[in-house]
Amino acid sequence: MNSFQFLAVFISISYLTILFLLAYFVEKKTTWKEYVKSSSSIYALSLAIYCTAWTFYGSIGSASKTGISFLPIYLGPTIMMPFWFLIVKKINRIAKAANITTFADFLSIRYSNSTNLGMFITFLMIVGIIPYISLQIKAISESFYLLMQINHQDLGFISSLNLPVIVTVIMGIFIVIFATQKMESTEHHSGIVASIAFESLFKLLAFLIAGIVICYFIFSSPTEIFQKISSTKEMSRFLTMPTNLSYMEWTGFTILSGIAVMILPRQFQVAVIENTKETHLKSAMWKFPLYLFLINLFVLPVALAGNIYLANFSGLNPDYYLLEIPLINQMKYIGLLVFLGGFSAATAMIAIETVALSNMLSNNFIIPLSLKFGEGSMRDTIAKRTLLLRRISVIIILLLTLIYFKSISPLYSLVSIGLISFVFIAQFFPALLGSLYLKQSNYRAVFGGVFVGFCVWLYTLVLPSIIEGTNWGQEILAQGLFGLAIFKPNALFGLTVFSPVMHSFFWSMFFNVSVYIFLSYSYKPSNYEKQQAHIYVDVFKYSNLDESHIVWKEFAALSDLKSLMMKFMGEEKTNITLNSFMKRFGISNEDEMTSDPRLIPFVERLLSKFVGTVSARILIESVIKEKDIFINEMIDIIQESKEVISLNRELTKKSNELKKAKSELEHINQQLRLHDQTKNEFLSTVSHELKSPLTSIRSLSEILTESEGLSEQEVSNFSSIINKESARITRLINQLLDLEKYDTGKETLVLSVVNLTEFFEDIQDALKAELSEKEIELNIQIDKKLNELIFDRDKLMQVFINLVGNSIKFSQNNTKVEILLSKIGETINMEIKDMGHGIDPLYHDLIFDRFFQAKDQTILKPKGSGLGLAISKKIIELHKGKIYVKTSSEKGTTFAIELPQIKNDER
Amino acid sequence: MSAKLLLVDDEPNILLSLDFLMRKNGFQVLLARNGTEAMQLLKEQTPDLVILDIMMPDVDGYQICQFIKGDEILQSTKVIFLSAKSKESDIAKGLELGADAYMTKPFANKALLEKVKELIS
Repeated sequence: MNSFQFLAVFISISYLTILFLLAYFVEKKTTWKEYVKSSSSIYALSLAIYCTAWTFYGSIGSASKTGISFLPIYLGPTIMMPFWFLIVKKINRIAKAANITTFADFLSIRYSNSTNLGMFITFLMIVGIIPYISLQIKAISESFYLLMQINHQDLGFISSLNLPVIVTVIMGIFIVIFATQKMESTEHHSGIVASIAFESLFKLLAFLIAGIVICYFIFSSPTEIFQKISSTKEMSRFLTMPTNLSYMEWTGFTILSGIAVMILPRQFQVAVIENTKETHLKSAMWKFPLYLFLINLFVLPVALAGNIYLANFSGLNPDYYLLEIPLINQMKYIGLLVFLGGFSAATAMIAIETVALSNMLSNNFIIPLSLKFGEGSMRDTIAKRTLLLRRISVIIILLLTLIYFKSISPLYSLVSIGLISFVFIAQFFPALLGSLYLKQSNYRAVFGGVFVGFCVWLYTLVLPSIIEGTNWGQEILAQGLFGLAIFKPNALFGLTVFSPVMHSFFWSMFFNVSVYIFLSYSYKPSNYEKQQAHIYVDVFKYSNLDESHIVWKEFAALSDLKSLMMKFMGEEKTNITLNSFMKRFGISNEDEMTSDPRLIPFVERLLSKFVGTVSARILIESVIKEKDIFINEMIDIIQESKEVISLNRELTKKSNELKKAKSELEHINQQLRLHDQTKNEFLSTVSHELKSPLTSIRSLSEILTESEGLSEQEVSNFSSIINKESARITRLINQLLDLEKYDTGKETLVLSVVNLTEFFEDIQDALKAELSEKEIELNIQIDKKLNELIFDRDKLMQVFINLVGNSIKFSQNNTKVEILLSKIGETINMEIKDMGHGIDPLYHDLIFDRFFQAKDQTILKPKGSGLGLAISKKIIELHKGKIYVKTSSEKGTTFAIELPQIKNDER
Repeated sequence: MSAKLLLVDDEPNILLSLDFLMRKNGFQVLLARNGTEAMQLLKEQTPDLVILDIMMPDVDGYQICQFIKGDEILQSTKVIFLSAKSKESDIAKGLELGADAYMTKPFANKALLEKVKELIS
């Protein structure tokens, strides 16, 4: 081993040590960690793990053969960046809310049968991605040997080293240390993120330096390269669009790459799981494409330069032009730099891809499987074993990678494996898109679509490559399955216009999407899926997806949930967490907490952090006692949430209206009751008033008919009482009928021009008997201006007879009653004055009520129905006037009537 | 010695007919034209029986009945309510207060006389 070889090995080990130390200090030092989490540039750089060793070396190889056809792999992500932003933003929201740990988690928890779906996805991912990881190991090992063999030096003991194994073991240690320390797999692996960001930066710098050296030092300028190339006819085709690469193919590759940058497990890991801020996505929109632009800047010149060298050095591998050109030119340190750049690209990819796949393997495969089929004790010990299982998963993934590397990978070039993986990963895209935007999507559709796509991919892309590599089954490739030409793996249904990769992409996506859509609309989503669809599709409706949006209503004993939590978090942290839960939702005691519908989802999400969503669901289901039977209705309600909201608004409105109507009704009811009470009182008063004269009449007439020896005077006296009482009844009935007419508005005024002198003479005549009986003088004084007035003569006569009659009734003998008429403005004032004993001011208003006098009377009861004043008031009101007690004292009372003057033309 | 009756009613003509009826049948009669007069008379006299109207403007028949039934001197005085109030609740109230009979207006002379005689014997 010479000094350069020694140096190269030493520097490689130092480089790895730097990565370890960087990761270590970021994890240890809070300030570093915070910086890594808050930097959007680090986020963008971590996305650059998209550029693996395949990019670093392979794109040059690809460009050397087909010119600019390598570009879509990088144009794709650039052009698709806006879509990437929209979709990843949505995924991010959901993932953060549900504590998603892997891509399999994300897709499977959306659907019923999530355990099986998660296992299915995990299995496929491992099958499809392991070759891609082993590709990196292949790149490391090949580039290392190229570097070591500079000037055909003897490899010495290096040849006895099993480099892939060493690299794999070191990566394994790195991952186990920095990715499986904490039980929470949602925890950000800031150390790893920092180191891969560093590696991204390093590989970019290495590529740029090597590119500059090749273009400006080995050649004088890129122009020289292009001139040399264009001089050879055979080479000039590289600069134009190759005819065998149609625009359709370009578009296809662009889309394919755009898809891959979203859902490759490592991309999902850094873009979603390791994302700390949503705003980072926005700046990544330009930072990541800028990175892609820079790293591709020298691809074409270097590829062409390599092709120029190829004319003289036939043993060159185009995949490694970037390394080989400096080495040929004895620039071994540039070569070392390039090697380290490729090494960076490879190790970063291995690290993240392994973390992502091992999380999938443990959270979506091993843990659910052991929970489902393991003994009951498995549930109790799963917490302790989580870390161990995750470490085992890392080892399994790396072991599979090594096995693949040893047995199969020698058959493929760098680019072909990368593209095969791209087509594979694209099979998940319809399901992903459907999960995010199609509420109809169900687990059968996802299973079906992915499975069919996967099979077509196997048949059209993997099978031909295996056949080419092994010489087995040539007839299938040449004649098609069962000799049917339409089943030719690389010309399915006679389609020959595409390259093999695009051909496979086209058919696999065609069948995948068709089956997916067909099944989506053939089967109804389950209730669980409806609920999840609601959360996934409408995630942006919720500014904050938390426990308050939970619709499941399940019951579990608090003690069971607690013991589950304690296994993962310890007793102290469990209590603290539950207390903060209680505080947050204002829950005061444990009983209330048990019945709170938010508790179980809360615990489930907590557990998701440790074992992923699928396993968390299994753990939760193991302690659930019952499910609420209203789930169906709940989901239906939620599904139509928009309608519900508007319905709610409507209901609130209705309920307010009802409330108002209710209070109105209560008011009316109260009035009715009052009215009813008044009516009852009125009726009982009326019946009393009618029964009183009837009683006298009956009793006296019985005396008249049954008693013997009545004196003549007695007979005439009794007869006259009977007459008077009969008249009283008649009067009462007439007055009641009058009142009824006034109340119902049936009574109208009969207006006429009345001579006042005559009118009052008539009144005097009518009351002659009463006046002379008490020797009362009626004094009438009419304003000289007043001569004639227009009013209802009969009705006003009734009023005056009633009022003057009352005055007489309550007056002492030998007193005076006065009537005064005057006119002020348009108002006629009428006053009736007596010298009676007065009316208590308390009763000045009440006396106009019906039967008032019958209800409340001083010692001696005067004659009268108790309706006279009530009727008088009605009559005056019908004339639009007022009647009231003007003054009242022990010396007498004055009643006043105010009438608006009625003009002749108003009649 | 003939029984002494107190007749209470605010309707003069009813009082007149009751007065005639009772005197004709040999009872001694005291008359009260309203509640106040009745109470005054009851403080001075001890009638054997009171015929009592209820609806009177000053002191109603219920109050008078209550007074009679609560007074030691008037222990043996019987009370007949004679009222236009004919609802069951009114009758029940009257009897609850200790009245010995309740008759509604208009009444039959014969029935009233029989009730009076029955209570006095």
